[in-house]
Amino acid sequence: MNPRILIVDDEPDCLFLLKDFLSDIDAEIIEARNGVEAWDILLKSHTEIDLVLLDRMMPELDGMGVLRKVKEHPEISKIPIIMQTAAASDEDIKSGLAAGAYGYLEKPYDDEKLIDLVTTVLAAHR
Amino acid sequence: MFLMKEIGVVQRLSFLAWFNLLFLLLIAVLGTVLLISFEKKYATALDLSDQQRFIEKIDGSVAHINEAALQLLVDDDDDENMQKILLAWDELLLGWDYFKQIVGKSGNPVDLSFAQEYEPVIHTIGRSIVEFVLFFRQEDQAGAHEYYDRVLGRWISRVTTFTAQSIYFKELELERQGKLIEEYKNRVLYSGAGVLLFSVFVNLYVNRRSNNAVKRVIADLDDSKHYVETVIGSLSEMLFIFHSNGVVTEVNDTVLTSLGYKKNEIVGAMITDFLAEATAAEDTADEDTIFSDILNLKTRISKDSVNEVNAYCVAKSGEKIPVLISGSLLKEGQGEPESIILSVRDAKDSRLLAELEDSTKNLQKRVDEQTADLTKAKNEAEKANRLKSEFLSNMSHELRTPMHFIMGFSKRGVKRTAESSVSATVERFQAINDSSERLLTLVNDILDLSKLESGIATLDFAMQDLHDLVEATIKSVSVLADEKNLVISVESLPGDMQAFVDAEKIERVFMNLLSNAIKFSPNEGSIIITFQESSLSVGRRVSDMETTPALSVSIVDSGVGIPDDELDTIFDKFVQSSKTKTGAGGTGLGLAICTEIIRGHQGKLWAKNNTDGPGSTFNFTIPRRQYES
Repeated sequence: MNPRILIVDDEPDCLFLLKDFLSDIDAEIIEARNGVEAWDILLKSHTEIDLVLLDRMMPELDGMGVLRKVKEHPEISKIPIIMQTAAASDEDIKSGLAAGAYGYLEKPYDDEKLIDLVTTVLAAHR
Repeated sequence: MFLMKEIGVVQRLSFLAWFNLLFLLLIAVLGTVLLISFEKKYATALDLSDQQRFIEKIDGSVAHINEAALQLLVDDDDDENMQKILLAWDELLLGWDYFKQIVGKSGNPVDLSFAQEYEPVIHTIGRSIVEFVLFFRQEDQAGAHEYYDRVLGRWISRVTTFTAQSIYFKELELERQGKLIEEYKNRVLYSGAGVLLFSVFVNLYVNRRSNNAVKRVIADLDDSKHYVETVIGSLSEMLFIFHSNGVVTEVNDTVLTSLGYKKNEIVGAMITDFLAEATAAEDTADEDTIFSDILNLKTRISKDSVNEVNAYCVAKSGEKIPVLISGSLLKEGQGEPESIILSVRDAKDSRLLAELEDSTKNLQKRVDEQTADLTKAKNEAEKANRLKSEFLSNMSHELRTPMHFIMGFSKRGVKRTAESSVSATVERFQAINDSSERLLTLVNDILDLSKLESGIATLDFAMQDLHDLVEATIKSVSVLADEKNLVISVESLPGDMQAFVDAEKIERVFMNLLSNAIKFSPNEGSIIITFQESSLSVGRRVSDMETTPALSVSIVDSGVGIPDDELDTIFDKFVQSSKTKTGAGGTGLGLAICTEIIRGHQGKLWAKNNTDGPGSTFNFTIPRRQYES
C-alpha cells in the first residue's frame, strides 16, 4: 500500500512543486491550503496519513500552531511531521524541532533532498 | 564647653570659703572664751588689795602696839598708852578676823598657808601684851623693859618681818602669775594668728581657684555669647528682641543693614516704630494690631499663633517692606517671660523662594517630559529594530519563495522534460515565469520605496482629474473584482475633481488601495470610492490657520477590518495586518509606498475601521495645488 502524505501550504505553486517532486515516489498526496484545513483533515483521517509536510508561514493557523495541536493529540502525535519554510532562522529551526517536528526543510531545497528525507522518515515509521 | 564643670568648682570653692570663715569664727570665739575664763580664774588671785590692806593694817596695828608700848616704857602716863596698846590690839584682832574671812572665801591655798602660819604669832603677841601690861600694873618698870626687849619687842619685829616677807613673796607670786597670763595670752594670740594665717592661705587658695574657675566660666560665657552673637548676626532674618513694655533691647546686624538704622536708633525705641502687622482687609500697616497690646501678643505667641504673620517693616527711608514675622517668648530665669523675640523675614525672599520652587517644578516637569520623550524615542527605536528584524525575515521569505519555485521547477525541467508530458512542462515553465515576475515586482517595489524615501524619485506634477484616474484603475483591476463578484462604485463630486498631481504615482496609490480592498473583501462584497472637498493646513504647526483647498478620497471596503492597534503601523514598511498577512501576494511594501507618494504631494494618508459595518476605510487628502512649504 502506497504511503499517504499530507502536504500543507498556502502557496498554490508550492503545493504544485511538492506534488511534482513527490511524483518520483509512489505516494498518495493529500493537499491542504492552510493550517485550519490541515487540522480538519488530520482529525478526520489521521489513521490514513503516514507523513505531513507542513509549511510554517501561513495565515490564521500557522505551521507551528498545527504542529502543537498535533503533538497534544494522543493519536495524531504519532504521525511524523516535516516542517518547511522560506524564512528559516536557526531559532525557527530549533523551536520547530523542539516542538516535535521530525525534520526541517529550508526553501529553496531540491527534489533529491526532499525525497531522501521523506523516504527515510517513511521507512522509519513503517 | 566647661561651663557646668567650672560652676561646680566655684560652688565647691564657695562652700570651702564659707567653711573657712566659719572655722575662723569658731576659733575666735573659742580663743576669747579661753582668755576670759583664764583671766576670770586668776582675777581673785590677782586682786590682792584686801590682803594688802590687811597686811598693812596688821603692820599698822603692830606698829601702834610697838609705839604705845615703847611710850609706856618712857612715859609714866601709863593709862593713856595702855589704852593705845589695847586699841591697837583690838584692831589687830579685827583685821585678822577680816583677813580670815576673805581668805576663807577666796580659797587660795597660798593665802591659807600664810594665814595658818600667822595665827599663832597673833595669839602670842596678844599674850605678850597682857604680860607686858601686867608688869606696868605691878609698877615694875624695870621688869616691863626687860620683858619688852626680850619677848614683846621681838614678836613685834617678827610680825613686821613676816608681813614684809609676805609682801615680797606676794609680789613675786604676782609677777609669776602675770608672766603666766602674759604667756598664755601670747599663746592664744599666736594660735589665733596661725589660724588667721591658715585662713588667709585657704582664702587665697579659694580665691585663686575660684577666680580661675570664674575666669573660665566668663571665657566660656564669652564664647557662648560670641557664638550666639555670631549665629544671630549671620541670620539672614531680622531679629528684634524687645521688652514686654515694647522697648527694643537688642537687634541683629541684619536689621541694621536691611532697614538702614544705626543700632542706637533702634535699641531703646519702641518696637511699634519699626514693625506693624498688615491687616487682611487692606494693604496698609495698622498699628492697632498685635503690637498695640503686648500682653495679647504674649498670649498669641504662647499659643503659637504668631507664625509667618504678614507685617510691614518701616525702613529709615520710610519705605514699608513687606515681611513675615514669627514670635517667641524669651524666658530669663524663673517667672513670666519678660522679653519677646521676633524673627522677621523679608516676604520678597519668600516670594522668590516660591518662584524658585515653581521654576524647579517646571524644570522637573520638562525633565520628566524629555524623559518621557526619550523613553518614547527609545521604544520607537526598539520597535524600529524589531521591525528591521521582521523585515529581514519577511524579505528572506518573500525572496526565497519565488526563488524556491524557479529553482525547483527549472531543476525538474532539466531532469524530467524528456519523460514528462507537454502539459507538465508547460506548467513548470508557467510557474517559473510567475515566480520570476513576482520576484521582479518585489525588487521593483523595494527600489521604488527607497527612491521615494531618499527623495531621488521626482514627481511629475500636472493637472489631472482624479475621477479619471480612479476609473482607469478600476478598469485595470476589474478582472480581480469580477473573480470575487465585487461591486466597485464611485461617488464623484458635482464640480471638478482636478488636482495638481503626478498621475502615474496617484494611479499607483489607487491601484494599491483598490487591490488591497479587493484582496481582503469577501466574495459578493462591495467597494465604494467617494470624493470630498477638503482643505489642508499650509503651515507646519497645527495652530496655523492658513489653509489650502484639497481633495479627499475614501476607499471603503467590506473586508475583515484592521485591529485598532495596527491602524498606524500598517503604513510602516514590511508590516502587514495580522488579519491579512498571507503569503499570497503582498510584499508589505504597498502601503509604505502609498504613504511616501501622498507625502510627496503634501497630503496625508490614514486608515480607520468602519463604524456602520464590517471592513475598513482608507483615506487620503491631497492639496489641489502644490504650495511652497
